[in-house]
Amino acid sequence: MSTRIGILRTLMFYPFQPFWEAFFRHLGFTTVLSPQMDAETFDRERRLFVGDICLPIESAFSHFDLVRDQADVVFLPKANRIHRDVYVCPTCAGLPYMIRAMAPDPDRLLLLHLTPFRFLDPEDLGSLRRLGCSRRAVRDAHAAAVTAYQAFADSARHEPRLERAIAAATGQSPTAPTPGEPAPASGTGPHLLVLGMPYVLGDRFVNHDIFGLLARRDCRVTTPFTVAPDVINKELVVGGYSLYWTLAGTSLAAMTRRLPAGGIDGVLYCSSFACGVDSVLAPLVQSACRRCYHIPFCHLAFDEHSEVSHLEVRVDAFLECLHAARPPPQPGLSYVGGGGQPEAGVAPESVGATACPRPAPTKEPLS
Amino acid sequence: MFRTTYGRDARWRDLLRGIALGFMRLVAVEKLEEERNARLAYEIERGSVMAAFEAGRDRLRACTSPFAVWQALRRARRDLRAVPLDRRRLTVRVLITGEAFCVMDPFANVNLELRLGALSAVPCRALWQRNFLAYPFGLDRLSRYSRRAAVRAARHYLPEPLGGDINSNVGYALLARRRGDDGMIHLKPFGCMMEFVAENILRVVERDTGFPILSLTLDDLTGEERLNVRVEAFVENLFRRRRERLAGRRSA
Repeated sequence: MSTRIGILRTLMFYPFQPFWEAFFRHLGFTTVLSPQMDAETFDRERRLFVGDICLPIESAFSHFDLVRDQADVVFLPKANRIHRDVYVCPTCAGLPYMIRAMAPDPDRLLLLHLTPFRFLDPEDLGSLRRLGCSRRAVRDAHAAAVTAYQAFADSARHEPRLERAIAAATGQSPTAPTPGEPAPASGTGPHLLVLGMPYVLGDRFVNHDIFGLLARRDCRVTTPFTVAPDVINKELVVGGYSLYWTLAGTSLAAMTRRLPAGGIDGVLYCSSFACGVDSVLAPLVQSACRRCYHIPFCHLAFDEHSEVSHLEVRVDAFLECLHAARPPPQPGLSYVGGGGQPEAGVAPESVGATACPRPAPTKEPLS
Repeated sequence: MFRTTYGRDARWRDLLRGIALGFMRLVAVEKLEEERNARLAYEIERGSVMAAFEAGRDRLRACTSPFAVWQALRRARRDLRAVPLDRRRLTVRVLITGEAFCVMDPFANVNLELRLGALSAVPCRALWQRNFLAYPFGLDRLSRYSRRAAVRAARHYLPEPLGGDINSNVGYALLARRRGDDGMIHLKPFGCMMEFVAENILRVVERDTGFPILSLTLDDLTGEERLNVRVEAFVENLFRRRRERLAGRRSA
């Protein structure tokens, strides 16, 4: 029986899982994923980290606990050197060391710099050699995994839900849709650009299934990966300001590439509470939306409180705002609070909405 | 370029003199603070050390030349050393480290050094601004808590640099234990991602080595009483350990 490699379904899993899957499979290992987190499991599992930190990091140890017994070795990605002079958030970079320091059996951990953008370090090759992998085999596996990742990036253009794109690329069964969720969106509602870190947009536990909520409101959704799946590979310079956070460029590139083309009614920024990168990035996106693109903007911050009624209220209020800013839709159709079903006889004017034309977007937004 | 920035009458000599004066003042004030911290826990009359320190700091502020700064520092040190102290008092030594702004700014840490001094604990700071200036030239090795030595000491827990002061703050705990300090207080601002990593690794360091570490999260709502309670309990614990150690030595 081949060695089972445990992978945590959180953080860097979301952009890189197809790459990791192909890499380990090519080396002859079997991969075991931690289960999709939910509120009940999260409350039940141990939370060893102290201090105020974002939900993806907080849930990471629970993922580790869940996958530890099912795998021979648990893979923890080292993420601090994805690109030259571009850095990942320090908590992501420190996570493998925090888990290693707290884990009861640190010898069963595999810490690797495993990304599609650079080959592994000599130290990583030494770790893989202990599992019986030669340098040549690792090189071949890396090349094959890069090809698989490129194929995934191309296919992700057509699926706004990152978790489903990953499931399709790695041959897993996709997560079941939420009860009552229409699929796909009929396209009569507003078109939203949903921005945020891939591990927030991809993890339905972290984002409280915001895409299901939007689908029930009949919204069309565009995400960074459907606009520019290759941007994670590039260092991004916007308006002369170099962003040196690895995943921050993804959202900004999606904004600068998609919004000038028009057709987007509003921008929804999803972040984790206490995320330092998003605390810089969200105001930057908000400012660009207000000054350059004249598009309504809404910032949603998620934490471990599982009550979602406040989220529904905010999203509904935002959609109401978009409703006021859009030209009147066809009579008899409403996307607010309708659960995707048209409300017969309710005209937009009945909720106090008035259509107001938007100014045309500026041609050179941030330069 | 130089005249555009500093005005038509600006001279290089004045600029260099200003830099020298600023650096001298910074070093002088920090040396004086260090000397004050070493005496706070032993003062006989409450507030006498602080009064001597404030008089010396005011004199340093009024200096307009590097030579005057040197003279004012000598005089301030002489005044500080003249304050009567009770050197037989039992004290504990506590290292303060963490996020640089929280450690250095008395407003941010709610005068933690003075609080510790009032509890007969000698506060030692790992982070000084002069060390940040000296680090690129390798001169931090001369200080008691060298950043390079700290990063080296933390390699067992953090083999690669993670940014900020994460590695060095973990290393300072190990250095302080080797030096015989009684405990460490780690300060972090609310929501700081770097110090979150350091805080969690420090918990493991505390478990592995038995070195007492107190982590405090500070923000604009930090209540003085809450801080007092936690610091007093921690210092009391350090005193208990110190007394037990002394009693063990005597019985041996």
